Amino acid sequence: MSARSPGEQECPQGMEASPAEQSAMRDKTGARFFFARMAIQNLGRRKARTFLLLSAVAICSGAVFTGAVLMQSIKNSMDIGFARLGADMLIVPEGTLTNITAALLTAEPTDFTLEDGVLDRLAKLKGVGRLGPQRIVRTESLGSGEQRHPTDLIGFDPERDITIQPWLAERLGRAFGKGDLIIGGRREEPLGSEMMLFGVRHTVYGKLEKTAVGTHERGVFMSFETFDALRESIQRSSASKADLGPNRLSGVLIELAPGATAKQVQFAVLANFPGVKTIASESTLTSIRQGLSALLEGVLALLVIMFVSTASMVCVLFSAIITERRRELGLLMAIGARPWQVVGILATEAAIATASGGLLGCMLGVALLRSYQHSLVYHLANMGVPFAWLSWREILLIALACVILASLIGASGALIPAWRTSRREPYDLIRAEG
Amino acid sequence: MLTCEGVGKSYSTERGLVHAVVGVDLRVPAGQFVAIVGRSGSGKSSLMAMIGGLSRPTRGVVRVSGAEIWKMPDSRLAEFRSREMGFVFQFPSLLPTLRIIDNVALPALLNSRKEEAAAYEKAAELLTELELADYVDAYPHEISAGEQRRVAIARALINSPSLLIADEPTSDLDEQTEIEIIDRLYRLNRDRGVTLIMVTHNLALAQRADRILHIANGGLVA
Repeated sequence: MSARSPGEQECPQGMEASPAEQSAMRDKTGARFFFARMAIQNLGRRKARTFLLLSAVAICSGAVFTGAVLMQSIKNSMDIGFARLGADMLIVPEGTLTNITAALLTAEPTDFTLEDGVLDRLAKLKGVGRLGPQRIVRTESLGSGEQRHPTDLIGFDPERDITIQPWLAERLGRAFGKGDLIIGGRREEPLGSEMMLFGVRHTVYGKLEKTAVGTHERGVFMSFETFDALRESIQRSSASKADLGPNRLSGVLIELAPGATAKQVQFAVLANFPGVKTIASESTLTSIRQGLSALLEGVLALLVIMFVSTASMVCVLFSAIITERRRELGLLMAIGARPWQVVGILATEAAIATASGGLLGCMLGVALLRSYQHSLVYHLANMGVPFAWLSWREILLIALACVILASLIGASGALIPAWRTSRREPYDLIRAEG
Repeated sequence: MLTCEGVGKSYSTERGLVHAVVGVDLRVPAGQFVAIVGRSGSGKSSLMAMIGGLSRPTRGVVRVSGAEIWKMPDSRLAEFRSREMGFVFQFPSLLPTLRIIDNVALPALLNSRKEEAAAYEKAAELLTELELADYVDAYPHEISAGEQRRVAIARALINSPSLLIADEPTSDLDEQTEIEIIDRLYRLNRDRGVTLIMVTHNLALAQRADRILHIANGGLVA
């Protein structure tokens, strides 16, 4: 008894399949990939041309992939770095005493408050980027019978925060929620521990780095929701006469929009909001952040241009390839290929070639990134400059996007010459007339 | 089976309008073997291309199996060509990157993708019938010119067409192979009842046809 492979068919006894029939049996399963195979074989037929196409796409995709990963990593590093430098401007009620520090990280405890309607109006001002509203109060105790010492309690909106969470040194592995606290770097409560505030149990969700800004280092931060739940107890324990109701704010931290200057925004705020005071950070930091953001946008534009030029190159190359293969395409049409099938075959061929080039480019990009990691990033780390690499999942997603984009560019680059060819009469193509 | 009424084709060139085919009227009953003979440039290939749905006439009507082919949209015409017509060209017309069996199965795969298995079975049968069973996995460059022409005949028959169009099918073959190919086509016409229209400039080969049409200066000559 002989072994038989799963795809093999049994012949009636006494009859042997001819070589042609045996081949037909084998091809039953392979035929569905016929057109993809046809495209691959066509690419393989012109090795030098395919190699050049693949190389060009690989270089471009590799540059785009490496550029995108580095750019995103630099952006992340910058976001963290600049967020840690604080906001560009702080708006507080007039009469608030302000302790000017190098970094605007939080408002100071005050008896005065702003209406929270100010947020919507501020957001509409030209030059205003992100806004970080805060409510702050200094309490004499935390209401749990421990030694009395003043503590700053700060309520903030975790979704809009620009100066607290970037400073997190450690945190629990879940989302920040109601009942969670973030404590300043000089506080001693351990991460994950319970902390009683006015008889209510809270969890230390995260701890900040030391920032050399008093309120920031010793404060207890919580969401507005948590803050509001404690409001009555807080106000009983505080000497402050400030109205800390849900519609009040102690201050608003502002990040300027790209291109805006602190002076412009200061004038606009003072003109539109009587009874407020503005404190601006050092303009150098703002300029550096804005400059680097613009630079990254410039790099992005360059990457887009690279992809567009690759698409044009593929288009020109496929025009030449199609001209060379007119007779073959005319023949295909003569034996029954519909116009869309001709377009499909050529687009598939281009997509396979450029996707392979894209994949190759990403592999080269990974090698390049490894060398960056071992040189530049290592050097930066030694200098104490953190470099926030993307996670492997994010890098893989960018690689996948590059490969998909490369194959789309290939297919779209071949589309116009393929479509023009498919509109021609088969006989013209067979005679290979121009 | 095939009717041409006042079929003509003109081309615009730098030297002016060229009338390749002028007012051809033709009627070919089903199963007939017609040879069209004429000198180079007489318009015989242009006429074949119009009959075969490969080149649109500038005037006149072409009907195949009762259908006015040039009134069909491109996609339907492509499907009609594949279903009703088979072509054997005057040049090596196999796709070089495909195996022999793929080349033969291709017209069926282009038009009935859901029946790939049947297409390959039919291709294998035809190759066996044309004594090419040993070359199914070979590539076109691995077989002789005569064998390539036989493969083209197998490909032309894959969809069991009612009309077979052969445009100088033996033009680049030696005499012995030429006779062999014409024999094959003759037998297909006789055994399968396929209507056969063959363009040739070889009068001796044309003698085997049921009817010989002479073409000169784009028109049929009595």
